[in-house]
Amino acid sequence: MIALAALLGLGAALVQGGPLGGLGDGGAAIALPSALATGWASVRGPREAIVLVFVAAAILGVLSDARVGLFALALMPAAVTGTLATIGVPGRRTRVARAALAGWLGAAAYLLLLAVTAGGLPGGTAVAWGLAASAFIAATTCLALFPWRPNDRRLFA
Amino acid sequence: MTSVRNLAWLSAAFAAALILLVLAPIPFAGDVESHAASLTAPIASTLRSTTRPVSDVLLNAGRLGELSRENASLRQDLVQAQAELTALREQRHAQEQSDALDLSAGQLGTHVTAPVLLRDPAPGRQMLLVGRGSEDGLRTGQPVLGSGATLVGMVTAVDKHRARVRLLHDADSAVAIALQSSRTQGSLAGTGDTLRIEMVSSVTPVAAGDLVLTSALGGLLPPGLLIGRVADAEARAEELFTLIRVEPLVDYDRLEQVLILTDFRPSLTLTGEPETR
Repeated sequence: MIALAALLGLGAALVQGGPLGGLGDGGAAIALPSALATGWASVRGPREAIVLVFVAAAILGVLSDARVGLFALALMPAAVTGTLATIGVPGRRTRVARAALAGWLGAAAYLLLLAVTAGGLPGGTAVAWGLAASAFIAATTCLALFPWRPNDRRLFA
Repeated sequence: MTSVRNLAWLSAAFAAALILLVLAPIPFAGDVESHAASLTAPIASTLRSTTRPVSDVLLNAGRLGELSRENASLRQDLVQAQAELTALREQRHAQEQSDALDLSAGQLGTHVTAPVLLRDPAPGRQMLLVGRGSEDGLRTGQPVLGSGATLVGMVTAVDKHRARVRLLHDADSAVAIALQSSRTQGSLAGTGDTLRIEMVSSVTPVAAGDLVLTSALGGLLPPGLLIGRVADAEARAEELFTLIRVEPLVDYDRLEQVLILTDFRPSLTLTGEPETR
């Protein structure tokens, strides 16, 4: 699953840098790697999500004028909020709802950190749509990965 | 136990990200990024080209692609016509004044065209990665033009085969400008989203629709390049300067090819130091 997470990070960063970037500010506001990291962490925990985050950050940093470390920092809140969504080992519905909220928060942190360091915020409408799309992607990822959640109720966990 | 392990993983990842950020300025890191970009940029660019029809549909919000292309073509013609008109006006002005304004939009000198590979994926950062580099004669500080010889940005970093271009509406962008009819000088700054003119006194009359051109002031750009037109100007009694919003003549989100003036040598570098080469 770690290899899959790394591949997902690679693909997400390339899509973020290519097609989504081509959509202008609205596309840039959809934080695809952030949303996927949140969705992944909300089911599988932080270890694999961190791999996804660092692979995506490396690619985005190479494509951007901003540095790899800045992208890694901006994507970390996504892994954190996704991990928080797993507290209490919730069921599917609760976990998906939490993942959506966590995806929104993670994407907001990503946008805010990168936009503030760039010195300019994208338009309000673009940000609103981008955050909504990120929340949806995080929830969908959580739902898709739910059957592969680790068993947290093992006797000798 | 799981919570402690999760906390340890997240803390280690934060620390690693911070270390990466701190180590970023070392020259070796720049070289690694440059080499990695030569691998990843073409992939992302191909993805972008492949999905361009979908992007067009989304960007046009339901309008037919043909109408969109026709509209873009008409806009380009209009911008071209405005550029020619501007060039003629500038030539007349230059003759009347007999000063240094001898470079107009119709006489651009040596230039290269460059395909736009990517937009910077970082939100709020308005930069482009173009597919020409130092081997094609590109250097930092050269002006970058869009359709109709309209200035869209400046080259900020160059490697062998690629260059980064800072668009005019980037928050770190500022260029010296003049308004065509009144010859009022000012500074055009980006806000990350739009363009605005600063340093124009609130008692100076500014008309909406007036064309905005580059000024030779500061020596960073050739004079007389078209940028946009004044969208609106708001002078407040309590403010020293007029708030002037500028509408660019080119849609920066749709740039596919740009033109770079390779024979232009800024008399000052972007850092304010005299050019030595």
